[in-house]
Amino acid sequence: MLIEDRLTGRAHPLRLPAGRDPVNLSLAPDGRELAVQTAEQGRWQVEVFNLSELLESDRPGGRRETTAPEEP
Amino acid sequence: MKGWWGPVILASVLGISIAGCSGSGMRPQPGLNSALRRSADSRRQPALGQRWLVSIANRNGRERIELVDLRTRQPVPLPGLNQAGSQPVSVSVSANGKRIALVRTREGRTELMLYRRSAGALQRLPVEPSGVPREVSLDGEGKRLAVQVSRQGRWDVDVIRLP
Repeated sequence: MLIEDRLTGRAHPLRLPAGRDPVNLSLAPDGRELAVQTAEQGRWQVEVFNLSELLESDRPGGRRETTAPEEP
Repeated sequence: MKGWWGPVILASVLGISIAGCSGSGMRPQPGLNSALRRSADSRRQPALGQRWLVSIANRNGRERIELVDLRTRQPVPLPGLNQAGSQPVSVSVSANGKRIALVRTREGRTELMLYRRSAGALQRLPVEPSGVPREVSLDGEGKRLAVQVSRQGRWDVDVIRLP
């Protein structure tokens, strides 16, 4: 599995625990979590992984990044 | 597309499977993953919303679409979605969890469907020109979906705008 961050151009290879093969995946809208369908001894499972240590969150557009200006 | 919903990050399966995952910055969620494992004989077709995970769970040989709230780690009711005699093929959820798009087979037909949780309403979406839908992906806002369609032996991808 690989995540490519189009913003930075970096590719992040991802490793699953031994014995599990990736079949299908889904990335959360903010990029913080990844759900993977794995095959383990012929059985499909779904596992969720946190990516917050790997990727900067893709936050909603228009969100305020500073405190509001003080009233005069 | 931009911001929240934009495809800033592209994930793809390249088939690399190496022992251990902590070194790659990918942290498993043990409580959630063990709950998912315990609650079904097998599970497939995961799709993430902002705080939602939808998937197809197999219990005792019967497959059902299941939506899990990632905050509570509990499945939420989906009245009217899993109907007798229907077999889910593919499923996707909007970011806010309000809409679920799915492909199912029922009475020998393969159908593209949209489920609105607030109304508990399941609606069939026409595929035009006619074809057999296979994989579906709903955008974050739940206003557009992409569906893989087989037409005369050829795979197409249709993008459908939703009301």
